[in-house]
Amino acid sequence: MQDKNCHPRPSEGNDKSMIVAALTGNPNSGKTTVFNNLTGARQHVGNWPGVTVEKKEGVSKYDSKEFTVVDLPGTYSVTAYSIEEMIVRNFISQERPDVVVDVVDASNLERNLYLFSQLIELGRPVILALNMMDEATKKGIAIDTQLLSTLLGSPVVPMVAVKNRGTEELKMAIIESVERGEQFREIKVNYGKEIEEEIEKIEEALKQNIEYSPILKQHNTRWLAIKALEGDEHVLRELRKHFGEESGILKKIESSVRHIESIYKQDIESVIVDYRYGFISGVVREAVKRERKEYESRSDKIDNILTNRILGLPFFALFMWLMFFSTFYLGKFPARWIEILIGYVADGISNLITSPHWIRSLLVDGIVGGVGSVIVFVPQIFIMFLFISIIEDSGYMARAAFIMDRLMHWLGLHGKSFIPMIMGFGCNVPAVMATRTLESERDRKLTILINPLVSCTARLPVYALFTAAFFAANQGTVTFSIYMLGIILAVLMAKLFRRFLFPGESEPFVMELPPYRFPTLKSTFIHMWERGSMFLRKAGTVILAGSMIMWILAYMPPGAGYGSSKSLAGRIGHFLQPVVKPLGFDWQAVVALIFGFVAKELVVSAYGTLFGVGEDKTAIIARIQGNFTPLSAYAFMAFTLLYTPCLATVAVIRKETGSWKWAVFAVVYQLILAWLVAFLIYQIGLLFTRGG
Amino acid sequence: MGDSHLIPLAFMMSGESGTLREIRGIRHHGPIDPVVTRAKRTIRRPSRRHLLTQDKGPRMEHRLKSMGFLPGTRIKMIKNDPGTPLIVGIGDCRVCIGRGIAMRVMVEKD
Repeated sequence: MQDKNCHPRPSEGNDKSMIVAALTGNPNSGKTTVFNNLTGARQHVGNWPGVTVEKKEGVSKYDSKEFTVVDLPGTYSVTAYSIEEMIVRNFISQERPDVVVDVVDASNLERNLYLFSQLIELGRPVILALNMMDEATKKGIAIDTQLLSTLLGSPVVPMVAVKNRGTEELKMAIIESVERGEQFREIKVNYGKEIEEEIEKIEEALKQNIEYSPILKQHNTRWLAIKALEGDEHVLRELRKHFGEESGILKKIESSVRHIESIYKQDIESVIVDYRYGFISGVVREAVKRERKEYESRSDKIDNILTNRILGLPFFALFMWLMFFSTFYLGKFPARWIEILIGYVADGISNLITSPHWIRSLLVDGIVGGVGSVIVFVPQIFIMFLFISIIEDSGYMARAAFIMDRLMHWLGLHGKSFIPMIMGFGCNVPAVMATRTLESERDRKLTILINPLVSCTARLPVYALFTAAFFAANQGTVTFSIYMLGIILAVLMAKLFRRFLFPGESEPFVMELPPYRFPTLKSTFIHMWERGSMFLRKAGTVILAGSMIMWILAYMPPGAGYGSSKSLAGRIGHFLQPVVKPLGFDWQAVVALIFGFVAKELVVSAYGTLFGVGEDKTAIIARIQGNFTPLSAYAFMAFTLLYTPCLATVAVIRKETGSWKWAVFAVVYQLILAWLVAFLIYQIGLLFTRGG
Repeated sequence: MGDSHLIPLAFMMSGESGTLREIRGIRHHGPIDPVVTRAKRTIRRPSRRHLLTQDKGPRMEHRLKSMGFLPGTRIKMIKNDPGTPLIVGIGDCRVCIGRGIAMRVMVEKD
């Protein structure tokens, strides 16, 4: 257990492993801002083992002492009902961080303390980071932090994270709490005489046997007993596994539950929740004074307009238009500069390395051609992510879900399913992950399955290239029509799947509408960078490797003629071409599409490499114009939009649905759909062009 | 029913306020002995069908409670427009809630 969480950067001088602080909190409590303040740029994004929930880690420093900060997912409680909540409680009880920091919204203390009341039961020291103190003051809420700290038995640090206030104090509290543990007093939620007695009995029984179970041993026995009484599926499963289905302890739990429910005439889970809230309201009554003033907050005023029955939709459309306009038109300028820069690089390499010919070809045709043709789109991709970050950070995302609820109902989904759709315009991978907020498994699967039809930024290079080649006069309209095609098909498929795969009504939903906040420059840029830099990394890894493989296929066998139909690429393409012939595609399109399965940008890279013209856009365009007609080009764009999700998306679908079945289904149905749509576009179009 | 003074949350008009009294979950309907259902649900592994029909009640109820929908809480209808979900205020929080579930949240109007 020693090497867990071993961070590459050991704290100076001593071998003692670094202090680990885990950051938790309700959604919308400003947890991410606190994390960014603590760690700055020194963060590392990965996944939690086994699941695709993003895991962020960073290093912070106070008074020359470094410590690791792990950002846990935002949750309202720690039941076994969702993956995020499982991650939070497993991390705290199994990895045993030195201290847990619970970030709470001071202006909504009561509700935020619910998580705290459960965290203290996990048996690790908890620091309460009392965020948004300024908003609390504005609302007329006065919190006696000293008293609060005494009542909760934990240090309390008042903060205003968006203004970076309280960060140093929090760091100090983390270091001090670990170095001198005495600030913590054990506080328990008292569940009343009857329940406490049962908890004690179960704890006794557990203590006698628990050493033999490696999993149960990690947990605090009181916590296990409470969870068992609550009927926590996960804890009960572990107990069954360890003690056996018919063991005395399970019978004991069962009879305790029956006993308590007969006394309270209510299900035990509710009784326990009520006691937790009882504890919280006791604390709040003591430590919080509020002058009650009825007022309409700024958020409500904004909501009067933005979620208005009539105005809501036009405003939403305006924001969407602004997002696409900025991405496509403003993004073009920096794209042009990068293009010029890459041109210089290609020329430079050509002039420097003249022989042997194959190295020059690999560098110029393969690498610069393949990677360069994608890098050009980085500014546009960043702008798209910038907008998505602003929508998320400002609190508008939840409103968009509200506005679109009526439309989504028609699809048999509800508004919350719309959030992944917007995120899909950026990248389908985080979008598929974002479906996790949906309560119903069926709604979730349906939302996942239609998500890849929403056109992500990786497909943008393909449209940009083809519209430049064939529809130069109305590039914008044609690109827009492709996006719309994706959305219309997503709608149709949703209807179809709802009818045949997941029949029934959508489930009811609850969703918090966070107050509107002006997104801070820092956090918006960090978000944009996190997501956007994925593309840069992809360009350096997948696209680079893909381009090199592409180059080998185009170059081999020696003497066949680079990228000719006798090369390996040519042979593969010719072999499969009959399948796509009715769509009007040639063999080079086949090769490009095969590579596009790995990552859709590779379609463009593949052309760049295959034609052996480097990243020179005009040269690629000229060659493409020889291979396609405007009609087949449009069919090709539609095919690229619709055919199989990229490899990363397939992987995330597999993880999120928990089975290969749905991942394979997504690949197959989209291939068929793409073929059919491209076929119809091409063949119907042919009728008109011939007839005309 | 003797609870005639309670109305579902979904029936409150914009601007009206009241006190939340109870959440009527799927499990609390009808004469089923809650202890028996409980024991079945927790001790034996539920079948898939069982999970689908039974589990969303407590899950939803728990979620509502952890978001602050508790008996005794003051609740205000911020927006109740036809055809859209409701926006309700609990303290200073604004929560968007589907009409289906809002039919199960019972409120005593002021």
